[in-house]
Amino acid sequence: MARFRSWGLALLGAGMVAVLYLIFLGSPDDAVLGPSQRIFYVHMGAAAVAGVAYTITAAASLLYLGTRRLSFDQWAAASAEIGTAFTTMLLVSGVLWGRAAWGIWWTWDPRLTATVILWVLFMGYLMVRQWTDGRERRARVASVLALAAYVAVPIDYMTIRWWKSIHPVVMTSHGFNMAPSMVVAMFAAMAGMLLLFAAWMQIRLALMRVEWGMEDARNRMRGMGRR
Amino acid sequence: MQKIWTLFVKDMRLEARQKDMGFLMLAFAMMETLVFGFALDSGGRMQTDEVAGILWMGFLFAGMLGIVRLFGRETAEDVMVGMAMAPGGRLPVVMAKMAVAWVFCAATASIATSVDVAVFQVPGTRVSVIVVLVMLLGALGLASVGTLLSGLSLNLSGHEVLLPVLTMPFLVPVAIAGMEATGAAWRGGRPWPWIHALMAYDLIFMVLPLLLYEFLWEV
Amino acid sequence: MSPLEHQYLLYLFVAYSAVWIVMFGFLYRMSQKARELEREVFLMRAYWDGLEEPRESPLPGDGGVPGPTV
Repeated sequence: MARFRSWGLALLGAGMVAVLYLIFLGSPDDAVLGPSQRIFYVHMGAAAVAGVAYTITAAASLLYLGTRRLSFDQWAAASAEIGTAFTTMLLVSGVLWGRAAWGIWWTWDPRLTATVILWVLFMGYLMVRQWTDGRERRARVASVLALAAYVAVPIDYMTIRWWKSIHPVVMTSHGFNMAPSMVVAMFAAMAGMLLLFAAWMQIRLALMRVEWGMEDARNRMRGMGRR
Repeated sequence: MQKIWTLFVKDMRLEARQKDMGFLMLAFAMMETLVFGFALDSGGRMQTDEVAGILWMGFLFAGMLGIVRLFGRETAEDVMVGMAMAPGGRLPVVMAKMAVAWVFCAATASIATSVDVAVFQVPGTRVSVIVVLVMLLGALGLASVGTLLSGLSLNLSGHEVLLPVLTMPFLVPVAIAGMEATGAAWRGGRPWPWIHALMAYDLIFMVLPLLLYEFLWEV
Repeated sequence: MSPLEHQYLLYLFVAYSAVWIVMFGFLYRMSQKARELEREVFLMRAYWDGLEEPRESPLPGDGGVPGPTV
């Protein structure tokens, strides 16, 4: 296990440099947009991670409600936190790209609106977690809320396909609307970011177990002092 | 069914005696539209879309005011425990609450719409069957989202403050679809795509509490 | 792509890679630290459990409080 982890970290460290190489030097400029095309790879990677992270949150919440095992709640919380961080990244890169491609920082396009709603929903989820006492109750409330908030994820994914949106559709049922070397760079960026997510998730889960352990220790200490 | 009806009548009777939820919503919706009327004293120069936006904002804020009270009035004396323990389980409680919320939201929507049309005399704004349908669907969305979140956040510390903040993002899709559909109906455009979106969203949030009602509150 | 642009992209690549390496170092240290903390908490819990064990059972020689007899 420990060996696997260090190999994974090494792969992440070297792989991300390779991804950066592909993004900056290995892929061509866009015919219309020029070098600003390169923002897109980061954007796409962040989007993939956000989608995966929220899916993990929803699945873990469902499993928690089914089994009432608190470790699922830890998974849900950690994944939601990291997913929200990546959604922030998604929005920031999207705003920068929008400025370069559309000439405006922000517009109330369906896709952009849906993403902001998703971001606010999971911020609310994290806020509720922060403000709720009692592990069981927090886990129950957060799980229901996560499942409700997860409704926004498929809607967000489908917005550019259902409504007229100015957001480009890259993945269609007929293949990719891109040059092949761009597709390679895109998938490399996605893989790199997912690896980063996995590493981050491990750290966050370990820290969460530490937090809970320290809480337990504190409560025990209080109990001992009373006796 | 019997339990749903009993609880529904109970809430209506409470409302008739205390007037602390439905009447509050109606009064708030009316005041808000009037305040918008003073602030934007436009003399009929406003676009139908703008009027639709104002209408939905007033409706949403009034609705959220009521949603906080929806389960809030059951906190005293552990009423929730009693209602859940009574024969029939929790599902009827959730459904009755949803019905109550829908009735009050629909009443608020009708008041808000008529005051809105009267205050902003935009040529062409009229209350048609389609607008009534849109408002009823919007009220349904508000009621179902509100029932889920209100039941969930009950007993959380500071839920009066937490609930509106939490509800708002869930209601933004309802608001967008409702505004667009109302504006389109008044303009003579095509409201149906938005009405379908509204229906789909309502359906999702009506089914969700029915799936998760077991976990909404603990006894 | 003009040569100058290519030059810029090269600089950007180097800059981003440098930033990433610094961040990765941080990530690595966080990973080690989290692991270490987790082990310490585990040890603390084990120690605590050992400490509390005798209190769970009644003291030797103490028959406990006799229950009500009918």
